[in-house]
Amino acid sequence: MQDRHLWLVEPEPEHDREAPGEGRMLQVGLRPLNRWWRVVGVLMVALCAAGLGIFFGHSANPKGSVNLGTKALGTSLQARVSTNNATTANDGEALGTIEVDVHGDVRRPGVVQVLSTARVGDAIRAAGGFLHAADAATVNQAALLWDGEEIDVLASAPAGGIGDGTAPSQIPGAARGFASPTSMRIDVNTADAATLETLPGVGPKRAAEIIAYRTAHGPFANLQSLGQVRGIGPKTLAKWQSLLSFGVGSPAGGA
Amino acid sequence: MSYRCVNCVQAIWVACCSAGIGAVLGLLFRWRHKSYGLKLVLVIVVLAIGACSYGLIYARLCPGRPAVEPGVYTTLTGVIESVTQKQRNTELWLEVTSEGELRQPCRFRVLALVPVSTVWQTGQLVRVNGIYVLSVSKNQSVLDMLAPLWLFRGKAYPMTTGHAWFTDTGAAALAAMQKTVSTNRVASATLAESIVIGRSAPIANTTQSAFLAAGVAHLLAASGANVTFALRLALMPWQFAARAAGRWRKTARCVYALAVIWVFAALCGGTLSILRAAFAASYRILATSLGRSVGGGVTLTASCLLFAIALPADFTQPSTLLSMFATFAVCEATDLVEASHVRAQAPNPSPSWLSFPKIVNTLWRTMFHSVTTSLVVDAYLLPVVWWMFGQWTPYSAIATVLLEPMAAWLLPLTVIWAALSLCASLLAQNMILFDLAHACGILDTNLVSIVMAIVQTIAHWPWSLVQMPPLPLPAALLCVIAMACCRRLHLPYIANRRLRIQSRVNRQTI
Repeated sequence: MQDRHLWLVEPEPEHDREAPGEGRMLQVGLRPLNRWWRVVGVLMVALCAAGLGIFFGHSANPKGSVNLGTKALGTSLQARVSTNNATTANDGEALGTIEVDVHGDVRRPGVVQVLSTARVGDAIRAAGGFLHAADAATVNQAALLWDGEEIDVLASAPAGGIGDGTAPSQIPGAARGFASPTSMRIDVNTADAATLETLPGVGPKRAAEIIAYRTAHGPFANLQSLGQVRGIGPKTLAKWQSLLSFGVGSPAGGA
Repeated sequence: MSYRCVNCVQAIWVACCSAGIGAVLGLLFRWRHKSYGLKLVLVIVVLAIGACSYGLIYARLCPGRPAVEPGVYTTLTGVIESVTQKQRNTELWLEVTSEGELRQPCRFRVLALVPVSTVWQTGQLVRVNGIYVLSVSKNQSVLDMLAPLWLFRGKAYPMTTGHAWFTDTGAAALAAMQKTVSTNRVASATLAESIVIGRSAPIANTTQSAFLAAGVAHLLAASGANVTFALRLALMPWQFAARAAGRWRKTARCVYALAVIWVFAALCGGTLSILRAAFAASYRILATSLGRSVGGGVTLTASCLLFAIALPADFTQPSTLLSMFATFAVCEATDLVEASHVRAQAPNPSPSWLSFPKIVNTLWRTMFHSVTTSLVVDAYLLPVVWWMFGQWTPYSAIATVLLEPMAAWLLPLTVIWAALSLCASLLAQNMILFDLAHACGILDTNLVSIVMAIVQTIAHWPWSLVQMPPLPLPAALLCVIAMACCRRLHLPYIANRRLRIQSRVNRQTI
């Protein structure tokens, strides 16, 4: 009944004609998906990616170190990102990281970023470790760090002495060598303000206070007497114990 | 990786990527249009090689890296982009323009650590003498690779400059605006200025963090929307002056528009995002005047090409890449969502009063399409932002939809306020201008307060800024490709030929 109207239809192209004897008249083509389904598809891809990221982030940090709802860390590029208006990261200090300049006998000298609770040993490991194994003897690896600190790892002592025989206070711009031998200690009774500032936690103000106290009351006899300077407590003294001397022959002043 | 071979590696990387993309496109085109495949591959490869050669020559003339090894004493000259005061020193983020005693031109950024002695200001030209300190960040992020961080330690000295007119104008406008309002609104004035010309440096870190957590940090940066606004504002008086131009009207309009765009870009401090937007707008104006295509994809490609030719050293900067990809995402979202919205709105030849249900319906449709567009843009941006910064802002679409209209009101209002404030400061005795500026300032700062309230509310929602694990580049690319494929998805279907023939028969019979 319907086939008799087929003469009205324009002749089909040659390649569209079916093979003789083929019963089914089916053709496979491509049709654009509905616009809203495509929107849903795009959103689903993004949501799946985010979901996977959060899931694997949690798996990798079972103690919940994937900080949901907290600020992101800008790593070493904190300053750059903070200038880059659209992509401002946050202050690294809020997340407990500090930057320390490590140079001297380490594999990769330069500025490294470590946790605020890190110690000198952690900073040296971040800088690639000691260049020579014997250098470890010249450094107090347990000392605490503060932001912006400069750590100078001195060369290990040859048979005749320590390094080139130069004390940290005599090295221009040198910071903390953390050397335990007596000749590497800072003589608190003769050191100037710049040398005292190389001690951990000592800034210009505290160095000036130490010198003022020394000028007013005479030389420090031992470590405990240094505690009489305003702002210096037992914890600070404990940190300085291996770094100070109080005259020839008394490395720690009997402390 | 040694910093000396960064440019070569980047060039090789760009060439390989371009060749790969060319090969894939060529294969696709070969599949669809057999004659174009090989030609397309050849053109893309030649373009990639030419671009890399140009980049290397440019890097030779104006290097994008330090010329001396770390530890060697040198002199840098640059503009301060930001200042961070630390306990022991001051961190200056410098855009270095020349290096060495001979002041050889260069273009890169360094983080200069200088003694705490002088108060430095953003935009100031300084000379810094000292040494480079090699950065040895243990886990190098994407940002480290795209834009290596050069640390510099030394002493800084201020320099006088004769090219800071635009910076001074922006600062003078801000100072004049701040004088017209009470001191508790000074921060709002700074924020309003930042929304117009994108100078976010004076804004408090907490405010910037709130915008970041709400996913609308782009509001603090000048971009394509700001350029468009400036152009529209500047073309308003042009309509009255156009008659005077006579038969040169079209050319004069083109020149005027280009001048407006680049003056505005300079006023915004010439940041990378605004420069990319300025290139795009310039191409659009020139192409329109010459009768060429001004579609989204074409404009984006042309602007990227112009940017790469003019500033090859900044092409791989994170903000440039992010700006380009954001524009691509907006194009994709607009193509996907807005077309149906526009089609649904039938043209109304005779204006008439709309009924209340119609108004509600229109508002609802507009809001729905805005949310959908923002969601699609955010979906496209997710893998790139995740890859670059390791974070995700889930409420960005909501915040954008709520705040974009308010920002659109803020732009003209702030410009009027700044103009009135500047005039009032120049004419010190004119109280009428001062009162007008004060009124504008009150209105503007109130609007800014509302914006801040919304931003703070969204920023305090749970999971407003999710820190994500590191995402490798292939995974990010895969995600973007998957979304682009979804957007162009064609599903196979089985057409029954007999039914089709019957429908044609019926149609022709009728």
